[in-house]
Amino acid sequence: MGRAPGGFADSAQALELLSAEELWALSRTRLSLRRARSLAPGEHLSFRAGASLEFADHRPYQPGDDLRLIDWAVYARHKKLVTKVFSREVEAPVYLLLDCSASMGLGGKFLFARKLAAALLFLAFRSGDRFGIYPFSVSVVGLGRPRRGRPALVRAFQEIAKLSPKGRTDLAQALSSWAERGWEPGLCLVLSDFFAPDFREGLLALRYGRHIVAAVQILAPEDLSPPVLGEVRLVDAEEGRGRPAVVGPAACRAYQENLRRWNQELAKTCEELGISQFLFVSDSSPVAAAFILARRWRP
Amino acid sequence: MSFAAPWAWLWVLALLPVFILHFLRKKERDWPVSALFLWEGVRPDRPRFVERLRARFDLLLLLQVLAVILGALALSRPEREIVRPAGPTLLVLDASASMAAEGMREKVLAKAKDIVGESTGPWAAVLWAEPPALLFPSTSDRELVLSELDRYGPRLTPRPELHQALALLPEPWPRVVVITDNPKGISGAEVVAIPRPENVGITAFSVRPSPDGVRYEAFLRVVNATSAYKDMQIRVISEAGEFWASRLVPPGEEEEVVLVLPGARAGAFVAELRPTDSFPWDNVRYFVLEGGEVATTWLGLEDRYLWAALRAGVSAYRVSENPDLFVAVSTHLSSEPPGPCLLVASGCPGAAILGEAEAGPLSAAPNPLLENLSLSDWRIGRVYRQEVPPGAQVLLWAGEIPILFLWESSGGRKAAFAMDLSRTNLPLLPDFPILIRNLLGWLLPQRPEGNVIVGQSVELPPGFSVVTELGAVQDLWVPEKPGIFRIETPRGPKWLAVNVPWETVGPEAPLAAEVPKPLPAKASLPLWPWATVAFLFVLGAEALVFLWRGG
Repeated sequence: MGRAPGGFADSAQALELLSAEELWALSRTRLSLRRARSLAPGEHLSFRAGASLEFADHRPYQPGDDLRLIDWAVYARHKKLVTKVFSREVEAPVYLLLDCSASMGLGGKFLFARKLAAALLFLAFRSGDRFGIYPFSVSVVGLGRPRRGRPALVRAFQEIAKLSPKGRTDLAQALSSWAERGWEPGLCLVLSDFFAPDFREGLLALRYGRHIVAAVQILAPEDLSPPVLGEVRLVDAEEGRGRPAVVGPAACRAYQENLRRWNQELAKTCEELGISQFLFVSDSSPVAAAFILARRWRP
Repeated sequence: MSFAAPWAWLWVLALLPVFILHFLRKKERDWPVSALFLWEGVRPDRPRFVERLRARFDLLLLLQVLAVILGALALSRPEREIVRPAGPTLLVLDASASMAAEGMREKVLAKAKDIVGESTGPWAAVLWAEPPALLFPSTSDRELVLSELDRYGPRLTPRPELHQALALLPEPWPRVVVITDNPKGISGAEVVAIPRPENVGITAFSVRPSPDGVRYEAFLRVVNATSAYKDMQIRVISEAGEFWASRLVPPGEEEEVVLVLPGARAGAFVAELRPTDSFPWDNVRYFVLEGGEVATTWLGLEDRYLWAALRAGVSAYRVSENPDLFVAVSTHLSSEPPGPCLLVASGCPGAAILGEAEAGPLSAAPNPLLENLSLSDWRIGRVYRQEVPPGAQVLLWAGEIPILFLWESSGGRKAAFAMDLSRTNLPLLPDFPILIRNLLGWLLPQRPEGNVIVGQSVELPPGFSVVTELGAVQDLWVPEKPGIFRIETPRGPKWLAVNVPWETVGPEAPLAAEVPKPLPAKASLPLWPWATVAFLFVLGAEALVFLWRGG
């Protein structure tokens, strides 16, 4: 196996984010979307017409159009002058919004999220995109502009390595306040367990910012199927409040039904807002999750 | 299992604060969840009993309780007795007369061989009887030991003190095993008690001639040491014939039998008991009138009481010359008799009678000749003042006046009563024949004894010899079996009766509770180190659980 390209593998490994094998595997993949709203040229296909080789549509000829773009075959058949429109390849920044609330600390969710974030940043780096990492709990912590290049990636890794889960989640406030900064439209991935009642407002704020949004939900195995605990005092990881409960099989089933409804609500919201939704379990491979995101994320 | 410090179990009281602290502590476990709101509205399950139990089960409490119990156990220093094969073993085999009962030898050998088989050696064996003997010295050759043990055999003698038997070996042995039928009084040794068989026997047999000299009276005591009534047939054999008596003796009882045996001259008697039992040696008793017959020359007045007392003590008959004994009553001898002489109210040169006097209070010098006498019963009216020869030993005083004294002269031993027997009540008392018999024993020291026990050494005067199966024995003879033996003397043959002493077989074996506890061939294995290790292990596990739970 060869050395991971990019020359920053040591940094990633030293920070225990990604191994050399994982970096090597990720280096063969690109994070590319077919549509973006940026005007800068890049690898992502924009909705706007451009000068790429990919045919997009026809439109009636207008004076001033490049005569080379007239489709003469259509004119021969319909006696109408139409001009071929090609897609425009644009560059889109990648924004990673990482939930650092205390609930992410349960069941290995935060470790999974950190690795997944590192893998996604690496994919963005390999695609030549600008990227930025924005941890949040009640509010977003870092507000630096997205940058491209190796130094930016190393700094991002170092920032990820320093993160630890604490505090409570306020998705609405955090995502709204971030979106209000007026970031350039780009690919926006929200890595969270989405256990916040006001997630709709937050996602809506991102959509208002004309970002292509992916809601990446990360759940722990015990979130999906809690063990039969018997008589315990359930304590909220973020708020610290608790309630006594007798967790038996029936209670577990009731909880799973609540979770299913909650996730249905999240999926419904995402669908309404045109947001891609992904669900990963923290005991799976973060790199595999990054591959899934890279291949299946289509706006 | 035993405990060297059982009071240390008080440490279990430390469980009290452990339980108090446990119940004062929060009982519910905290379980962090990502989203408590998802649990809102979830109806709590009704826990089953097992789940309740599991919910209340606290590993830390269990470990704490276990640690306290193990700590108390370790401090109480538990020990467990384990069987270890014994090492050097000294076998002390009781070879006294009681072991001669039928079947006892085989039992002793079986036990001894078992002990040899269960131990690693070396071994030595001692025969515990009079005299004690070394059966074989210390050896580690098991085969040799087993073959040497077969030489064991009882001796019909009493047994000495145990330490006399142990003294045959130069050094003390760590394990001493005594195999006996009478464990009473044994200490410091492991005892293997062999039960005695039931026994009937003759415990005492004596014959005396009647005062008129025409018959004998035989006195017997028979015992029934069994658990059933016994119809005992007693046969007494003398030179005049056989005489029978019968007694129904209750279990555990002893009865007296008196038989009158006609015949003027007899020396040896045999008493037999029917039916016999497994210990035949006490079913036959032998008796010989002591020393055989004593030729007596009577001087002075007749005294039938004194004659009767003489006849009760020895088989005396009268001769006119060359007697064994002179008896002088109420006379004065012009010269000292050339032999042993008993003077009663009589004087002789060197011991002349000086006159009469009132008797004062009786006092006695400590002397074996006065044993078994009750002087307070004596009533003495008048006594004689008699010259006491130089070197004489005074036995009795009446006030300041010696009334019984002994001395030795060139002619032989002399004894003098300085009183008139007819003016005392002495001839009517049982003390009288006893005293006369004792005096005769002193006056006639070379008179051979008539009755001895097996193992008792018999000193034979010059010219005396005993006829045994192995030939004539002179000087010193130790009889090894009972019976009547012929003694050749210069004055003709005499007889000697040898019996097995009843004391060696008679006393009942003590109850099992009195049997001293055997020194076990076991060893105490201390268990407290294991308990301590377990305690420390549990303590470590408790600390780990505590840390695992986050303190």
